Amino acid sequence: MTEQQLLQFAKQALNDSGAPLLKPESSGQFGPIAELLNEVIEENRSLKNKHKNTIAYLRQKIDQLLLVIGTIPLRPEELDDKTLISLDPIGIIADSFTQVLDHLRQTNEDLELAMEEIEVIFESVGGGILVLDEDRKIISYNRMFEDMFSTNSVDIIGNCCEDLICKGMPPEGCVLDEMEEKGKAVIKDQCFENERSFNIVASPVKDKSGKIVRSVLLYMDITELAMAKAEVFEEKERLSLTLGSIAEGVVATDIDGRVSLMNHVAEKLTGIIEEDAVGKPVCEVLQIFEKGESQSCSQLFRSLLKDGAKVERIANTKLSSREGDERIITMSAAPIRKQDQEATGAILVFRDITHEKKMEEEIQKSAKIESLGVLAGGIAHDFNNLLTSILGNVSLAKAFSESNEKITKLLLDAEKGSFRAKNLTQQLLTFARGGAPVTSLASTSRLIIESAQFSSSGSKLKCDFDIADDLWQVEVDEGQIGQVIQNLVINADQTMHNGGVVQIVAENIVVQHNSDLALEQGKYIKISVKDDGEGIERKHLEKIFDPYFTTKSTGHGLGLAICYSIMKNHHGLIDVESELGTGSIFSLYLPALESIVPERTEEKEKVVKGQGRILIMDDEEIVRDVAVQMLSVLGYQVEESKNGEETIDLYMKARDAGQPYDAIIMDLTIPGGMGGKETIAKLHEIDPKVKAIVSSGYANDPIMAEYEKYGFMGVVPKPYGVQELSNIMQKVFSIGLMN
Amino acid sequence: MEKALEQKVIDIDMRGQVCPACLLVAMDKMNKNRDVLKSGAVKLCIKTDNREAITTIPTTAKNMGYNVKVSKKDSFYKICVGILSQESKS
Repeated sequence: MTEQQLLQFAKQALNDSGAPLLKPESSGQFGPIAELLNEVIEENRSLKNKHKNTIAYLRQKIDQLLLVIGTIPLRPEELDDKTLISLDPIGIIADSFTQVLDHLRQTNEDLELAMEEIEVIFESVGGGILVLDEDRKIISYNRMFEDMFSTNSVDIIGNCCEDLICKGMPPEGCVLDEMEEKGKAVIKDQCFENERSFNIVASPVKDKSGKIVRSVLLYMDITELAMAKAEVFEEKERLSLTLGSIAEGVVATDIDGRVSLMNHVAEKLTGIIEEDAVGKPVCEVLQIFEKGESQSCSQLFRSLLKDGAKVERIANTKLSSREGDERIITMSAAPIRKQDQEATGAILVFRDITHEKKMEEEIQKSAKIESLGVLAGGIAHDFNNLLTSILGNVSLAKAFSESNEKITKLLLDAEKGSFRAKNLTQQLLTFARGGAPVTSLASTSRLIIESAQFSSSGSKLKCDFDIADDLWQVEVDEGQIGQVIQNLVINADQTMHNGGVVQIVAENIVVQHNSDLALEQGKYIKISVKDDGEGIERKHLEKIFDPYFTTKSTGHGLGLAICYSIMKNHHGLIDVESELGTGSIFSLYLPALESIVPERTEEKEKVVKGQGRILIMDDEEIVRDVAVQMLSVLGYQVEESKNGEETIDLYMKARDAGQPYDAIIMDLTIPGGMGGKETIAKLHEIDPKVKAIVSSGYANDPIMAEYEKYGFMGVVPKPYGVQELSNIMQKVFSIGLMN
Repeated sequence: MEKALEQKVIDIDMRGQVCPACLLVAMDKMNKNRDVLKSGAVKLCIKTDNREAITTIPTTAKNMGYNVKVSKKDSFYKICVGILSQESKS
């Protein structure tokens, strides 16, 4: 073998691991070299094999690490062995792992801290906490929970919350069921057997797939809150009940003056319901303006909400409702303050005083008429004394001149004139009368029809009656009420120039408490007189019942004033509704009797003569003179006295002489001496059986209406004629006979 | 925001390369720039068009404690890694 051949053979064996080794025995002189070469080739082959295994190992480990990191294995074509070595992926991954581990360590530290935080929160939170597993078994709880449910000595962990808290009877709508159904936190208030209320928050803990693996229940004890809520509710109820039942209107507002609450009375007075009013500016809802003053609603509010402002009061303000009704109210407005004194709104309380105001006006009107009445009464008294003399003398003269027709006719005229004068004083007296009218049970329907027809006779007026069949009974002074109806019909006649129909309606009504009428509550009969005349101007309406107020050139202005006075004395009322051009309705209200009393029957009067000794007491000579003569004509023996002192003296003397008086007629008022009232008291002491008759021109004196109470047996108002004297003597002596 | 303005950016363009080579390169950069990345002075922005890389790089970066933001550009994705301000986190 040549040197060249040997070298080529060796190279082939090195490059190709499958190629045969050299054969030293056939290498001749190169035998030892071939042996050495064979050793080198074998070593080279072994090294190459190791390198290949190492790379494979590296790739395997790199792939393993890459998988850990989360990526795919290295593809050999991506990195050849050489690049693999130079890139050093293991080094890179190892360094990255250092960072990953550092990060993990940091994360663990953070987690530990977080765990500690959670633990602190778990124990310090103001509620009981339960952590449940999927089967609702308790895996964790805090001390608060233990305290709340007093589960001492019971093994909590591993127990089912249903057994522990709900005692095996879970309530309807269990918070856990709802949480599982909705898959999110649920908040619920629940009351448990131990009478305590809890606010429960159930929150799910989900794994990555969204499955609920834990539930956290937070129990907050809200028993006290619930109790406070119940108390507030109760307080609200009480307040709303109070607001609903008081007679005042109440409106509450916020700081901007917007309505936040209003009660039923306020709704009624404003005509706006609470639902519509809430949120609106209070000045829009409460349309108030002060009489005479310019303070507006908004001004009131501004001053009310200022610091330190107190209650504001407004008297006699007009409140207009949505429908335009005007009511008179008094109002007080106060700021609502928080604990720190800051105003948060206002409260307005107002009362409807329209009724009281009307009553007050009525009283004022009455006082005005009463003062005039005192004057009229005085005049009437004197006038009646004069009339007694005139009428008495005329009636006497008539009796003495029966044979002379001419004189009789003149006397009849004089008598007629006197009667008209008497009527006038009667009117004056009626107007003046403050005391009770001389009342009797009357047939109201007959009275109404007769009076109306009397006034309308001879005129173009027709009266149309609509009188309820079951009209309640009233006790009235027939003369006076008749006069009222006559006056109203005469007024109607005067206002309807071309005649027409006057509608007269009588019906029963019941006046309720707090009605618009200035009347006490109770049963009344209402008589309305309606005409189609020219009506009354609005500005005159308030004055038509004032004395001497008239729009007629011929009127004296007493007609309606008298009506007013009569109705007042009957505890009734006269009212008017009228508008210019549409006619008027006058309404009379008379209190009805509670029980039904049979009506009296009237007897026809005639002059009856009698006999006996009569004493007449009067300070006026002209009255005494005519009375003596009239009584003499009637057949009586008459003596006279000027005052009470003289009367008592004469009475005792006559009794002692065995010729006692059978009756005494006494004037009620004796200026400068003892009058009828005092004298009868004394006479009663002397002779309890004394027959005394009271007479006066002051028909308004209560003694005239209630004479029996003072010891008199009869009453004869001045002026009187022969007929009246005859009547009263008959009455007194018949009482005497009965006794 | 101020921090974000001062933050320097190391850009690596690895378009055309696939995973895991991409990931290894990104990891190598994250290792070599660890301190500046952790301090927030620098952020690493990698351009790649390999879809797998936009999962593997962010996962690994997060495991290493970095914030990652991936945004899609016209023909590639841009993955930014570092201590990023709140607004730019993903």
